[in-house]
Amino acid sequence: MKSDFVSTVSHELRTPLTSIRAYAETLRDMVGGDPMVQEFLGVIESESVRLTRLINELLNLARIESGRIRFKQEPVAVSPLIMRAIQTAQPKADEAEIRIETQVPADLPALRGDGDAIQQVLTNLVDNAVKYNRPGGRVAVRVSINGGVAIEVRDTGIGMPERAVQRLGERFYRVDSSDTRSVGGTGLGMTVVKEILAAHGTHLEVESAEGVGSVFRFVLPLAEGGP
Amino acid sequence: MKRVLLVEDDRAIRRIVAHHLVKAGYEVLEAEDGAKAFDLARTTTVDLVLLDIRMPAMDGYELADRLAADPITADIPIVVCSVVADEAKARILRAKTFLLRPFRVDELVAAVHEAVNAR
Repeated sequence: MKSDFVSTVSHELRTPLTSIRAYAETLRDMVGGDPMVQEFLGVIESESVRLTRLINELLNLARIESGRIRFKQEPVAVSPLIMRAIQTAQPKADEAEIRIETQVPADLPALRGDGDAIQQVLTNLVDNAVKYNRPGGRVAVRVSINGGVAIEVRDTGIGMPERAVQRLGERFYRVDSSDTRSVGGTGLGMTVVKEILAAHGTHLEVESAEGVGSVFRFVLPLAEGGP
Repeated sequence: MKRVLLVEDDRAIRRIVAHHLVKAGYEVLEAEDGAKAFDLARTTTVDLVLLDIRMPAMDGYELADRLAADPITADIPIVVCSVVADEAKARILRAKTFLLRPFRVDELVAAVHEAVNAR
């Protein structure tokens, strides 16, 4: 992706988006209680929020790919990052009665990497695990010491066929294009995850079974004693 | 009544932001570029400048510099709302708040309240 081009386009999109969002918000306050009008205006508003997220992620991705983001190499405590990722996904999980569990060793040492970037990886993975789950399902985030800090996000969701696992992380690739509407999202979350992990010298392992669920796993080096 | 100078080249945004500021009890002066805004700021009393950065004629950076250099306008608080809010942070040090587009209108009105009342 041409980084300058993406940056320019992203900026150009923000101004009309500001108008769409502001006018929709304003109308929602003006038109009163007709539930259908409220619903339709709500769609305009939430879609403009989604478009904003898409612009932010595109911009972010272009920066990562151009090497313009310098990832830090600092000691990072994992537990708070996991907690924050779960907090972000919790409202959506509650809505679908999905339980999120964690298994983190109490004496977990710090890993080495970029805290903000790893936060984004975890947030995207947990969000996906909730989004592509089934009502009443489960999400488990497990951390263990295994050749570094091994982090695993497991869901009891809809799963993916093998060819989808292969293509995961391609920009705008959707496992099932028909559910774009129902789950929202931008189609870039997994690409961002893969790029960040690659920049950390590691990669995402994916196992999935249709109708059973998926497991996403990656390993990052320990802050101390690593190479 | 406090007076806000709204500097914005996009007409649709100017219209909706002015609508909300008037509703919130402000008098609003509008300028679609930096040059016109500078004239207004010098010739009338203004309590706050709400500033876009990317504009034709005179951009937000130049306007901020000119306002700062003129004793009549140097103390007017500034709120920036722009697509380049992050970049502006480094260049308009005395601005109170930097809102990245797309902002929420209630967020913008709150930022204006705060900047005017902190004066």
